Parts: sequence; C-alpha cells; structure tokens
Amino acid sequence: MLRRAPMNYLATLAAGAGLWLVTGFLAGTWLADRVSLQVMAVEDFLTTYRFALGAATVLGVLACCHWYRYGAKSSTALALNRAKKVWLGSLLTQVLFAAAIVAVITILMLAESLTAKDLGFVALGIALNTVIFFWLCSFLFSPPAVEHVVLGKR
Amino acid sequence: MATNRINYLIGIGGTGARVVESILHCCAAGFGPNRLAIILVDPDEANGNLTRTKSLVSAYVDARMRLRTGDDSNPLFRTEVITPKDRNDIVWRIFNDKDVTLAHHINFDNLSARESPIADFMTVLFSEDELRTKLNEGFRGHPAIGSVVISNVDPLQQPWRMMFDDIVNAPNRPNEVAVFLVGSVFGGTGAAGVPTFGAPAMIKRREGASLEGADGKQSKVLLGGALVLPYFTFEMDAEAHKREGKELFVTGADFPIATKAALAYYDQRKDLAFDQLYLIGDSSDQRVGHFSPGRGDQDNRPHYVELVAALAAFDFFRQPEPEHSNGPIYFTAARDDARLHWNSLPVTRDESQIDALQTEFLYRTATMAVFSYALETRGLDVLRRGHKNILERWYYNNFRFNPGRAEEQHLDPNAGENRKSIETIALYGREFLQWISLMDAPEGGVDLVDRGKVFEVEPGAPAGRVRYIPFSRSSLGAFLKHPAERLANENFEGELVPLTFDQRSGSASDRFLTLFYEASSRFCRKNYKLQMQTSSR
Repeated sequence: MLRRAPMNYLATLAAGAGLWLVTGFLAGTWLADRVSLQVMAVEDFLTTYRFALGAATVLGVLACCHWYRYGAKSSTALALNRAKKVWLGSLLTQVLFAAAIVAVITILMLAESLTAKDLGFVALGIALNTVIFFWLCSFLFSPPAVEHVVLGKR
Repeated sequence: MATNRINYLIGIGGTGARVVESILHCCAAGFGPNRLAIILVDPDEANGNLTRTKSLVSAYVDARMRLRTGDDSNPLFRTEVITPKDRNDIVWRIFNDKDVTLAHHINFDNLSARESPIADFMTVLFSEDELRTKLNEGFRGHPAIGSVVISNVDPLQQPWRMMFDDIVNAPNRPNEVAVFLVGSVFGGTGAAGVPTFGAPAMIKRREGASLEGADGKQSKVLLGGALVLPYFTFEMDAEAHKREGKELFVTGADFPIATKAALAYYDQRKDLAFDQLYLIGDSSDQRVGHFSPGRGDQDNRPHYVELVAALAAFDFFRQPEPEHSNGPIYFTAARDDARLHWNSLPVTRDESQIDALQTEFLYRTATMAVFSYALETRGLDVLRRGHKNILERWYYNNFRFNPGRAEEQHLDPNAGENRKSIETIALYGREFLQWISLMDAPEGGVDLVDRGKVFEVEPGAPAGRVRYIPFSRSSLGAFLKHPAERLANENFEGELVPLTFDQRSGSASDRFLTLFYEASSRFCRKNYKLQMQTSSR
C-alpha cells in the first residue's frame, strides 16, 4: 500500500518532516551548544543550519516525488534498465546537491573557523536529508514496477 | 461420451496437410479434444506443405512434453497428439519404392506382354500419360489414378497399424472411435483418398470394427469427413512444367469441373460409409502461392477455409452420442456478408452453443497469440539479461535463488532444461503467430488479424521478410480484428506484476511460462471484454 500514490508521497513528506525535526531541531540544538562561534550569534548559526537542512530536505523530497512519478508510468515498466539510470542519476544529483550545500555553508562560515568535526556533523546532517533520505525512501516507497531498481533491494 | 472417444484425424493430400496444421494450432491454443491421433496420406514426399505439417507435429509434441508436467491449470497444448512411435511413420507415402508409376503398380507391362485383356481394359480407363507418370509427386489432379493405389492399405504397417489396433481393442460399443478424413475434392490425392477410405470395407465395416447389430450396420467407428471445395488459386508456369517433362498437372481452371464430377460421384455412391460430411469452400479465389509438384517450395500460405475445416473436425469430435441416420448427414455453413470476421466462423452444429464456442475460440486464439508474442519479445528478452540484471518485480517475486550455488541452478529459468523448455514453447509460438498472421487477407475479405501491429517488414531483407516489432512499440491490444479496448502493452506488463507462484510448484520453466500465460489470459479478457461461458466440450 505504501508503494502506491498517494500513500508513498504522503509517507515521504512525513518522513522528510520528521527527519528535519530530528536533524534540524534536536541535532541542531546539540550542535549549537558545542560549536565555537567567532562572529555569528548562536541563533543566526542555528537559523542558517536549519535553513540549509530544510533546503536539503526539500530537494530530497522533490527527488523522491520525481522518482515515484517516473516509476509509476506504465511505459517505465518496460524499460527498467533506463529506469535504473534515472534512479542512479537522481542519487548522484543528491550527492551534488549535498556537496553544494555543504560548500555554501563552509563559505558562509569561513569567518567562524568551525572545526572539521563540526563541519563533518553538518555534512552528515545534509547527507542524511539528501542522499540517504532519497535512498531510504525509494527503498521503502518506490512504485512496484521499479521496486527492484533501487540499490540494495535485490 | 465424447470425451472418452478415441479420435483419429486423417489428412489426405496437400489440403489435408494444411487442415492438420490448422488443427494443431487450435489444439496448441487449448481448443482441441483431449486426445487426437494424426495420420497424413501423401505420396508427394517433398511437398512443402506436407513437410511443414510434419515438422509442426514434432514441434507440438515436443512443446507439449516440456509444458505439461502434470499441472492442468494451463490449457495450452492440452490435446495429447498421438503419432506412431517413429514420427516419420505419421505419413503414409503409399509407395515403398521411388518413381512408381501406375503401370508399374498394376504390373501393366507384364499384362501387356501376356496380351491379357486386363491390359487392354487399363488402356481404356487410363491414358498413356496417366499410366506412365511418376506418382511419388502426387496424383496430379487425377483422382482416378489415386483410387487404384490408395485402397492398398497394409493394416500391419504404420500408421494404419496404430489405428486398426485401436479400433480392434476398443470396447464393443457403437461409435467408440471417431475417424475424421479431410481432403480436397478438386485435387488428386484428397479427391481419391476421401471416398476410397469412405468405402465400407476400408474402415467403418472392416473386420474388428463391425458390430453385430439388428441391422448389421453398427460399427465401433464413427466416420466423418470434410470435403474441401475449391478455395484458392495459384501461380504456375505451365510451359516450364512441360519443359521439365511434366505433362500431367492440374491448373486452377480445372477445379470447377473436377469439383462438379466429385460431388456427383458422392451423390451417386450411396454405399459410402460416412456418417457425417462437412462441405467447405470459398469463392474468393485467393492466391496462396505457386504450384510445384514434388518440390519443397510448394508451401502455400494458410487460408481461413483450412481453419473452418479444422473447426468442422472439432465439432465432429465434440458431438455427444450421434443420432442414428440412414445416410450421411451433411453440414454446410455460410457467411452473413462478404467479409469474414471472428463471429463468422462456424464452430458448432448446436445453435445454443454458438455464442459460447465462438467466444471461447476467440479467447483461446487471442490468448495464444498474445502469449506467443509476449514470450518471444518480452520473456526471452528479459531472460537474456541474466539473473542479476533482471529488475522486473514479477521476476524477482517468482525466481529467488543464488546463481552462484550449483544446488540452486534448477530454480533458474535461464539454465539448462528450463531454458530449453522455454525456447521450445517460444519456437512453437513463432509458428502459431506466423500461421494466424498469414491467414489475414483484407484484399480477400478476411479480417481476422492486423499483422502490422506485431510484425514489421525487415528493412533491406529480401521479399519483404518480416520481423517482430519490439514489445514496447507493438500494439498487442489491436492485433486481433475484433471490438476491443485496445489496451496498451504496458497493461500486459501490469498483469504480470501481481502474479506470484510458489517456487515449489513445478519447474522454473513451468512457472515462467504460466506467468506469461496467466498475464496473456487476463489481458485478453480485459481487452476483448470476454465473458467466458461454460461450453459443452
């Protein structure tokens, strides 16, 4: 049931919202308590961090929705090799988005001299909301015809 | 009961072989009786039509052996086709020697040398050409020649031994063995063979077949026949045949007069032992290819009249205990209009069963066509990718195994005997699709299939050779010319996805084939909106 519209879309939105709450609020609050900031106020840092994570989550959800729409098309069932390329392309796009967001945050926070550990934590959060989120949602909620296209499903 | 009766089909001559071909394809689709023994009669060993039918019998038997492994849920190849142990014996070639002439067969030269009056009598009955023409290329449209030689049946030799043993061993009750003859009335072998085998002493009242009854006319054998009247014309080069020394041959212009003579003969011969006769013909004069006696290239395209003759045979085999009649019962049918559709095909003598059987015939034919095409273009295509690269859900749900483990190889539909079984069925499916596609002839008023929906002309290939349109581009739902939803091929795929069979049930090839059969069946029911009624088969 969770592989068919609209349930897979709704499940993905719910998962995205939940993930953002965990990584944005809970983890963000934990990070804000530990990070040493030179110029920025903690609240500004948290806003930037949560906004970045929100953007990552939106990109992840959009990628999932695109994949569900593509996978549910009747013509896709007859061209699964192409579907695999589409999925891998979407995954790679998420990797690029994640890298881009991390790069932007790094540039924005150059003056703050964040440690590698802090940046790593941010990158992990971004990755969770993009690459890992996309992979997990497509693993659980892909339309039946393209279920086994997802890496690790077979 | 009809279902317990032993059924024999004897295809005589080229037309007989063509009708047997149609019968085999219908049996492959699941429309035939439970069991059917087949005999072919033709002295023209090299005839392309005969060769093709013989090959088809082998392909059918092989396909059935591989598919029917005890599970009766799949009706394809349901009919058990019975042949002599050595399949080459399915054809009675009439002559054991090559280049036999009528003169040689009746020992004419010896009789002449002894100045026997019989030799003189033979010269009255037969011309010099008729006496001297080599007969192993057929009787060249001269049934009088054939009637002399065909009556020489050796009951101890196959394939007759098979049939006469069954008759002798059948219970001593009327109509336990149904024998159906089919041949043309306008040719040579069929025109000679059908009335010859219809003589009482040949089959019906032969020793071992006759029953002692009050009127002395009871027999274990129910004898029927399809007399095929002219239904085609062909191209031929008369001058070329004469240059080759072949003086004796028939042309399309000879058909009407030969038919008239044949029908008059049947009318006169009140002693023939037929119980039922079907008269089948067509006036459309469709061209079916060229004429080459004794050559393998005499291989004419299928004609719907052959299918109608096949349906006549099925009606004959299907009948319950027949009514008693003092003479043969004749069956004819006619179309409502000049164009032939699926609803025009005569399927039964029982008016109350017409709708049910026509629906069933359409359903079975459509399912077999969809199955054959999908198996070839989708099924085999999927298997070619190898287990690890197959991402289709229906495949994953039904074929889970570790290809690296030898003890799990039997679960792989792509390995060993499983692959051979699937390819054997696919090979038969190609024959089926070709047969049904070539029968379509819009220019001749035959509107059964639109072959352009699954076949396309191979670019650059000679003589417009065709190939399958790839699955994603073809239009399965529009292949049969019948009111339909014209569902897209993706709908067929959608029928495959939810199907799951227990990996312990049957071999991997059985499951693979059953998947495609079930999907084809569901696709056709939805596409053609078929409500299957219960028919008395």
